[in-house]
This record gives sequence, C-alpha cells and structure tokens, in this order.
Amino acid sequence: MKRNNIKYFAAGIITFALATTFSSCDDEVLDLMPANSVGYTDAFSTEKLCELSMVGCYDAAQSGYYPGNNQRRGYPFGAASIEQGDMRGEDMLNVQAFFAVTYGSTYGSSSPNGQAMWECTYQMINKINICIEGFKLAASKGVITEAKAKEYEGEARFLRALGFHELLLHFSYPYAHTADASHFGVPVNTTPINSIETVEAAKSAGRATVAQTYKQILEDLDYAEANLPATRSGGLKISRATSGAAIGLKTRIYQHMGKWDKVISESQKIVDATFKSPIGGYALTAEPSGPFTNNSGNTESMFSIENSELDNCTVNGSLSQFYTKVRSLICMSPIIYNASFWLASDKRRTQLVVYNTSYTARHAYWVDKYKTYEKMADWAPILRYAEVLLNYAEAEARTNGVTQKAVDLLNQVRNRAVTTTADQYTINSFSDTKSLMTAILNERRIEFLGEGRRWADIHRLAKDPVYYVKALNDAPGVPAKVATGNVTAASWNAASGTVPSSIITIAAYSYDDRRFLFPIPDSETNTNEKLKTQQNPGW
Amino acid sequence: MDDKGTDTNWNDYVFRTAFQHSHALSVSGGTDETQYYISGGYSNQEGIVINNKFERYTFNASVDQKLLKFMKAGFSLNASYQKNTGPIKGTNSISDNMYATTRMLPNVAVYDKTHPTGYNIDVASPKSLGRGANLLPIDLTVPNIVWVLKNNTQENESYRLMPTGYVEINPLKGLSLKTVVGADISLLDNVYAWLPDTGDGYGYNGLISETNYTRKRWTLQNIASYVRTFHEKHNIDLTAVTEWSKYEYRNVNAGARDMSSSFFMPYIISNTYNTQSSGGDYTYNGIASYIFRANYNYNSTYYIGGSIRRDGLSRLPENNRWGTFYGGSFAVRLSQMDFWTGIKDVVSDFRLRGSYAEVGNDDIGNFTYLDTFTAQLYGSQTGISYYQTGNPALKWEKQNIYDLGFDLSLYNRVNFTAAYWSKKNSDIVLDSPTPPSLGIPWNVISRNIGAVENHGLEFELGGTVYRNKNFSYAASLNFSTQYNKVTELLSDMTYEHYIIRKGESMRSLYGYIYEGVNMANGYPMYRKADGTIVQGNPNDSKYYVYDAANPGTLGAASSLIAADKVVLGNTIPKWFGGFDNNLKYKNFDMNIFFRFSGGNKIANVTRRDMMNMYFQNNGTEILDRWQSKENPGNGKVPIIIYNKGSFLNLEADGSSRWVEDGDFLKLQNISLGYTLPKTLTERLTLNQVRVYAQAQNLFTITKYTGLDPEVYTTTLGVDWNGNPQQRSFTFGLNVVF
Repeated sequence: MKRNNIKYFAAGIITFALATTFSSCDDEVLDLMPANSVGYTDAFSTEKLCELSMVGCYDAAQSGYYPGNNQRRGYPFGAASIEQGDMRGEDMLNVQAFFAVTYGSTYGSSSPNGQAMWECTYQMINKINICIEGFKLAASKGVITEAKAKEYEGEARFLRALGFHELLLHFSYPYAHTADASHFGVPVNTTPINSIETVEAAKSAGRATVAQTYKQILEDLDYAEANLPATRSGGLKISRATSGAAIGLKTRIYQHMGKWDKVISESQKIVDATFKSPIGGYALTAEPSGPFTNNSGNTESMFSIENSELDNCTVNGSLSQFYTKVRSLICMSPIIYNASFWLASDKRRTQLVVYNTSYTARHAYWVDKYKTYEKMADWAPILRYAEVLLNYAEAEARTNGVTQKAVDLLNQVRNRAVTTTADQYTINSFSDTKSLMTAILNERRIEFLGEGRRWADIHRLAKDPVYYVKALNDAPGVPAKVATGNVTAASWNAASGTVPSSIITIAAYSYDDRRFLFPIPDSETNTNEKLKTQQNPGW
Repeated sequence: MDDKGTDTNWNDYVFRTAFQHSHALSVSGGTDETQYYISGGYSNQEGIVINNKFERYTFNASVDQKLLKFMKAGFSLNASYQKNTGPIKGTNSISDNMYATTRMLPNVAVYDKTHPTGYNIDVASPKSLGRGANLLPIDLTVPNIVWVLKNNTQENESYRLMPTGYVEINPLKGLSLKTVVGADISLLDNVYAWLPDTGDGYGYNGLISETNYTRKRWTLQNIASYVRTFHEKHNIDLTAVTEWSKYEYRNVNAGARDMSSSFFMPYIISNTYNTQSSGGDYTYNGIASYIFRANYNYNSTYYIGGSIRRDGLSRLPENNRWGTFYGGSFAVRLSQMDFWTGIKDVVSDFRLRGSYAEVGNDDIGNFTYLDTFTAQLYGSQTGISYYQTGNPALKWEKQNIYDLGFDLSLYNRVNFTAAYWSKKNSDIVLDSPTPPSLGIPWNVISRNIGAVENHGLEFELGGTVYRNKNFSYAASLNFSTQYNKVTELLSDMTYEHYIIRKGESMRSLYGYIYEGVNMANGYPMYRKADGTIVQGNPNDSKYYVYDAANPGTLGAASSLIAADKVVLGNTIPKWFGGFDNNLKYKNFDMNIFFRFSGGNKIANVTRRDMMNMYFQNNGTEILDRWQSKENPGNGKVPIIIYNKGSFLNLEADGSSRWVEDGDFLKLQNISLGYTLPKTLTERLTLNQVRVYAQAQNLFTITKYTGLDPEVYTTTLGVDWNGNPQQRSFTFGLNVVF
C-alpha cells in the first residue's frame, strides 16, 4: 500500500468504528435506572415487595428525620412522642439543656421539636396513603390476596389513626373545647400525594375540625379492628398492629372524646371477667416490670414501636440514652416522686425506679423502664393493657360512680405493685365518685411514668369541669414544674407529700395561654397559604 | 475560679504553630520519536489544630510515541495518595473542634492526674469535661476537647489513578483525528473512631466506623480538528467532538460498637466488639455530548466563531434528556487597522471582543425525576419506603453567558482590560418546598423553577511600573463588580438564616430586625412588620408592645411571627479584586499580593452560639449585657437567664443582631526569593537554584468580629463554628537541573 492509501484506510476504520459506537455509547451512559431504590409501581409488584412496603410504614412511624440535620431522633413514635409527652408535663424533669425548650415551653413556630412532630407524622401518613392504594392495586392484579390487602390496610390505618391523634394532642384543643368539636383539628388527607399535581390539589384543604379528625381516626380503627389478625407470631404481636391493639387504641380515643359509653363497650370486647382479653390473649404481667424486662415478648404490651441495636433512634433520641445514666437528660420530678398517693412500699418504686447520682448528686431518681443503655434497643411502649384497664375503670366510675367493677379494674393495675392488703383499695375506700376518679387519675401518673402519657391527660382533662389538672391560679392549664437548677439531694422524699415550693420555679400557665398548643411550624405556613390563615391562637 | 485560680486558655491547647514541608522533582526528555515526562512530589502539612495533618504523594508519567509519520500515540498516568488526619468537624456537633473549644469552661484544667485517662473528665457525667470546683458539669455534655482531639480518630486516605491513552492520526495537512480513552478512579477510605472513655464514644461504649468509597469515571472522546491558513490571511479552525462519560459510585461501610477494649481501636479488628453493622450504596450517571466548533479569523484582525453542542444526561427523564446549546463570539483588533497607525505608538494594541454562549448544568442530582422507594429498617424488619417524589417534566437547567469588553495596551507596557459580563440562569433545578402536611418525602420536589441574573464589570490594569538594568517593578490591579438577583421563583424558599426570594439576591440573609435592649428591664426588642417595637419577656416567652414613654411596663400582648421577618442583607459580595506586586532587584524577587472583597453581609452564628445561656464558656460580649437598670450594659446585649437562650437569642431564626458587614482587605501573600548567580549554579551543574521565604494570610483588615470573613460552614454568608484560614510561613528551595 502507498502511504496515502494507508492514511485513508486508517481514517476510514476509525470513522466506521466511531459511527457504530455512537448509539451504543449513548445507551451505555444514558439509559440508566437506579440500583439503590425501587420504582413507584414496582414497590407493589410482588408479594415480598408489598410486605416490605408495609414495614416501610412502620419505619416511618419509628424514625423520621430531625429538621436541619436529618438525623434520626425517633420522630414521631420511635421515642419522641414519649419524650415530648413527658417534657410537656410536670412529672418528669428536664435535667440538662436538651429538652429545655419543650419543658420550659419556650418553643416558637420554628422550634425543631414541634416541627419534627408535625412533619414526620405527615410523612408517615402520606406513606401510608400511598401504600394503601398500592396494596389495593396489588390485590386487583392478583399479586396479593384481597384479604392480605385488607390486613395491610388495617395495619396502615392503625398507624394513621395513631398519627392523627398525636397531632391533635400537640396542635389542637381537646375535643370538649367546643360543644360540637367544630374547632380546628389538623389537616386530614387520606389520598396519595405523589406529584406536583396532587400537591397543588391538596394544598387548599386546610384544617379539618376536631370532630372530623376524630371521625377519621375512628373509621381507621374500626377498619383495623375488622381486618387485623388477633395475634401474630413472636415479637410481631407487639411490633405490628393487631385487632386487639386497634380496640385498645379506641378506648383511648373515646376517652379523649369523653364518650364514656363507647369506652366501656370497646373495653368490654377485650376485658373479660378475669381481666384478660379474649382477643389476642392480652393480660397484665405478674410484675409491674414485666412489659419492660421483656419488651418484645410479654402479654401486656399491645403495641410498641420496635427498636434494635442496629436500627434505633440514635444517641440523640433513644429512650435508653435519655432516661438513664447514659445521657442523663430526663429524670423523675420530685412532684411525682414525693407524691403521697404513690406509696413508699409500691413495688414500682423499686422495680422501675433507680437511684443514680452519677450525673449529679442532686438528680437522684430515674425511671428504669428502658434498660438497654448504649445499645438503644428498647421498644417504645405505645399502648399497654394496663391502660385499657384504667381507661375502662375511669369510664365505669364516670358513668356509674363507685362500683365494684371500677374498683376491681383499678386494683388490677394497682395491686400488682401495692401488695400489702392493708394498703389496697376496696369499694369502701371511696366515699364518692370524685375520690375514686382521683385515685384512677393518680394511678395513671404512676403507672405510665416515663411513657409520655402525662401530656395526653393534661390535654384531654383541660376542659373537664372537675378533674382538670390545676395550673395557674388553680385554673386549667399546664402546671408549674421543678427547675433542674433548683433541686438538691434533699428535694427527694418518697411519698412525703411535700415538694418545697422553692424548687417549683417554672411557672404554671393557663389553658388559654398560646403555649398550651404547639404552633403550626413555619415550614408549613411558609408553603401553605391556607394553613397560614389557620395558625393556632396567639402564634 | 477554684482555689488554685485556674484560668485555662483552651486555644493554647487546641491550636498550634504548625510545620509544613513539600518537595517535588520532575524529569523530562526524549528524542524526535519519543518524549517522556516523569514527576513526583511529596508534601506534609500540619494543621493548626493539634490533631490535623495532611500528607500527599504524587506521581505523574507520560510518554508520547510517533508510530508512523502521520500517527502518534501516547499514554499518561497520574497517581496520588493522600492522607488527611483530623480535625473533628461537624457544625453543631459537641465534639467539633471549634464548637467545643469555644465552650470549654475556662475555670477548669485540661488535665487531671487522678483520672485514669490523665485528662480532666467528669467522673459522674463521664461524657463531659470535668467540672473542677463548679457545682455542675458543663451543659450539653461537651467533652474535654483536648482529650477528643488527642484520642479520637478522624482519618481519610485516598488513592487516585488517572490513566489516559490516545491515538492520533493526521491524514491531511491540518486535519487531526484523535481518540482519547481516559479514566479517573479514586478509592477513599474514611475511618472515624470514638473511644469509650468520654465524649461521643461514651454512649456507644466505643465506636468505629469505616467506609470505603469507590468512584470511577471513564471517558471516551473522539476529536476531529482541522486547522488551516489559506492565502496567508484566512485562518480557520474547525473541531468536532463526541464524548461519552460514565460515573459510578459505590460505598461500603462497616461499623463496630460496644468495644471489648479501647486497646483495639481505632481500626476494626475481628472479635473486639459486640455490635456490628454494615451498609453500602451504589449509584451512577452518564453524559453524552456531540460538539461542533468553528472559528475563523482574517489576518489576526477580525475574529468570528460559533459552536453548537448537543448533550444527553442520564439524570433527566428520557423525553427531556437531550439539550442543544449554541454559542458565538467575535473580536476585532482595531489596532491592526490602517487608521490606527497614528496612535499605535501610544495605544499599541486594542482589541474589542464579545461572546455569547448557552450551556447546560448537569449538576442536578441522580434520578431526581423518578418516584422511588428506598430500603429502610424497622427494628429487625426490612422494608422499603416512599423516599422521593419525582418530576417527569424535569429538564435541562440553562445558563446564558454574555461578555463584551476590550483589551488595551499602552506603550507596550501597560495593559488595561474592561469587560461587562452577564450570566442568566434559567430553568434552575431547585428543591421546591411542598407543605409538610402533605407528606411529600423531605417536603421537596425537584423542579425547574428558578431564574437568576448575574452581571458585573471587570477591570484589570497591569504593567511594568519601572524597569532598569537591576530593578523592575510590575503591578496589576483587578476589580470586579457582581450583581445578583433572583428573577423567577415559584414561591419563597426559607431556611434558618437565609431566603431565596424573587427580586432579592440569591440566598439573602433573612430574619427579624433587632432593636436592642429595653434598658428598663433588659428584654430584647424587635421591630414588627407594622413598625411597632415589641419586647420579648423571657418569663413567659411572649412578646409585648414596647412604649418608649413607659419602658418599665409591658404593653399590650403582641407577637413576633414569620411575617415579621425581612431580608437582612445579601451574602454574595458586590465587589472584589486583587492587587499584585512583583519586584525584582538583581537576583532578589519579591511578591506582595492583596485581596479585597465586600458589599456583603455575614450571619455570625458562631457569635450567637457563644452567647448561649447554658453552663458553658461564653464570649466576652456577654460582659456588656443588661444586668440592672443601674448597670444596663451597652444596650445591645439583653438580660441573660439560664436555659433561656433559645428565646432571648432567637436561636432557631435569623436576626439582624448577628448580621455583620463582610468587607475585608487581606494581605494574602508576601514572599521574598533569591536566585543563586548562574556562575555558581553552573559550577554545581545545575540550571537554577532559588531559595525563598513566604508568608500567607498575614493580616486581614475587617470590621467583621468573627475569626475570618471568608469562613462559611453551612452556606455562603453563614459562619457557624468554622475553622479559620491559617497564617502560614514557608521557606523553600527550587532547583532546576
């Protein structure tokens, strides 16, 4: 070949090679789909993926993000609902700076705790709405059975009900605030929001009324009751919703609505003559510590959020870090520790309270319900059978006065801790309904200490003409609290009945103070014109 | 203070005067047929924070070989290894070196012989700095930062290989066909280890996390170019390029917690821990480009050029994947023209130029157009969860760039350039916020919703100021202005300290207007949108109207709400520039380089944090606080109350109280060198030997009260516990063989 021919030959080969590579190269670099995530419709394309999607809803309940840094801090239900519920009340004490904002009610519309509660709960709710539609689609295609789709929907709606109720506790006034509960509830959306178009369409809905929100919660729980299994294998009986848990949660919902007949009728489904549940076999454990020493396998826990060593609410959220010597953030308040209604001999004072002065000699007594410390694997208790019994007792006492039934229900919970016969209640211990009611309400403070239930009681009782929690000038509201800087070793005297007023320096405030409700966060009002006009009063 | 009068300056223990040295060597050579180049380098830099160190080894080699008269091929390889140790960063992390150092209690000691670690660590609250004679340990369990820096590990090792190979043929005069295959492969190994004794590791009983990152990019390029001159005056330059590039990213993480003994730390050793974890990720993207460029000039007097390119991006949905972009440019060298001859002695060169180009931005995140579910754990159960709301309408983000200016040379000695430029970004891909109550994952959807306009002027004046046989002085001064405005946006995007808002500069600082202290009670005051002044009562965390006539009593109940927030200033400098001076006297050379910038505001969040109302060290600003009517301070710092910092300092919001001017003038560099006389170096058979001394960042003139007006940690304009730029002194030696 001549030089020139070689040139042209080489150029020709290269040109040909280039031309043929063009289209295949384009595909190679452009036609890509993700390897680390599943597409929207694929998420419900097999039986296994449907199950994974269901678990994803629980994950959303366990570990949302924290605004600003996206860390997991157990919002809404992995730990935060308990911590916020305790820190809004007076029975647990904020030891360090960590919870100063909630404990001292210094929050504003951009405070991260209220924002995280709002946002993470709605993240969960939308995931649930998307999954419910996905399960129905999967059933229509024969991927899963109709029955399985309904069971999943029941689980999802159980969580949704829990979510809406938690939002009501923090962002809306209680049911009795208006006669027909026509005051502002929270935005209620039950359809998937998954595109710019659906966002635009849903934007203008605004807040439902409290009555409408409760209606949705009850529809969800009725559906859950009808479609969930009574029991499941192993720990799943506690970490996944069951029909018994749905009924148990209804006793709480009706209690917050003041529908005492309904509390009784729901309770009767799961409390038999021997104080056990015919559905799911729920029963109190023999010892008060039972639900905590084995939180994944006991008869009493009806629903808990699962945490594990590998998947938990991290050092910045986990109950076993915050309530214990590990991070020493929340201890018991002398207000409850010194309360005379909590007998010195009560077994809960030894089984579920620990004396620990490792943080300071002044912060002496700590709740001992979360025992895995550094491992952070404690399941977060959401609903226990003990609560059903006390909800039932309260409804019975309110409806029928001092009855043997009401006293028996109270004693079921109390007597496993108060074992000296002389200290135990009989029907003769109560001169009137008020004394029985007071005993039941006090029992709740002891039994659920450190489980975040205190705020729910302060909130729901605020409009109760008799049993409201006394705050500023003995009117309803948020009671005064002990300031961490003031306690001394001498502040702690079990069952003494006195708390020095010098340490109760975080002032009480009344029900009509704006701080009684969290403000709707700025992140919402900045992006939602409708909710901007529906902010809570004073915020 | 304790009875020993302990008064610790923690900066003395955390920061140091650091030593750096670097060395480089290169060799090149060859024949007509073969050329080679080899170089190697080593550099070792200690940081100013005690545990901070940086080491790098580099190696480069290339060979070009003529295969045939019209064909050549070559290969090159860049390889490097680098290791970065410490410091420990994390803007709001209690073990961050700046965060923790500024909070260490001054009245306790660094060391404590009685503690097993030898450091002052609280026995009762083992995460925290020891309390010394204080009744309480430090708040928020901030650890002894000296222990943290000396014991915990933060280490990055990276290995990078960049091989390229090419074949080029020249079948016709001026025509070149070239195929280049290249890759960029980097392996990064990131280890952090927290010992169990105290600090972050205490809550885990020790923790190690090691992550290996693999990043690979391969590129295939075909370039055809044709450069010819016809009839001596017509110069053309044509180029066609096809390019494909694919990037792959993987990481694998291993974690260990609950350690058997800190003896086995910081690296993961089997059987030394009770809890193990692992994780990983894999993703990729690709881009394909077809480019054609043509340039023509007539006699180096008239220049004209144009280009067209088509880019395909895997990050965009199939329908919108391809974008077509055009560009064009012109220049006229007026000084080449006949009519210029008269002034050519004075204005020796004058060139007028302009250009326009539209380009696409490919930096928009992988697969943001898709709806996806990602893997999640619920305790022991595996699941998947709706994680991203896609936008199937996502399309190319574009930038239009215009440029018009002139270059001028006087007496062949002074150069002056002036230009106007404009950059208009449109269809900007932003995370468009959605109302949280709708539950869209992360409350954002990626959308082409923004447009931003930038324009400015650039001036540069340079030249030789004086020159004689032994001495010369050359200087250049450049000055640029920059104007930035968001011209389109769906709705405000607000963040803690800044806002993106139509009509304002990008990421403007945003918050409440601080009106100082009510001198009657020490409460902070703010101005509401309606102009009224309100005071914040720390006792009930509420706002009340302030009446100047009657400051001692709280007025009517009021509020401070999001609608009261305003733009507090732009974060992007409005002007900046540099002044460079080079002096030579005989064998000595000297450089003095100043930089300046300004017209911007900075949110000094570090200062806010140093006024927190926890039991921690505070800034001296606190000395000016309101203490009583009789001792009301400077009127800028309100009353302090333990644990009320979030209210009194508005910690979750921006406020003009922390906003400061960002103007500065910095002496960036000053150096002095001496080149050994040729007569001496030749005797040593060396080409050149130069010794030099250099000082960098010697001083900054600024009103900004933070450590450095150029330190931003979270975003431009927000200074939150950033490490300052260091001042460095260098002594060096250059040898050319």
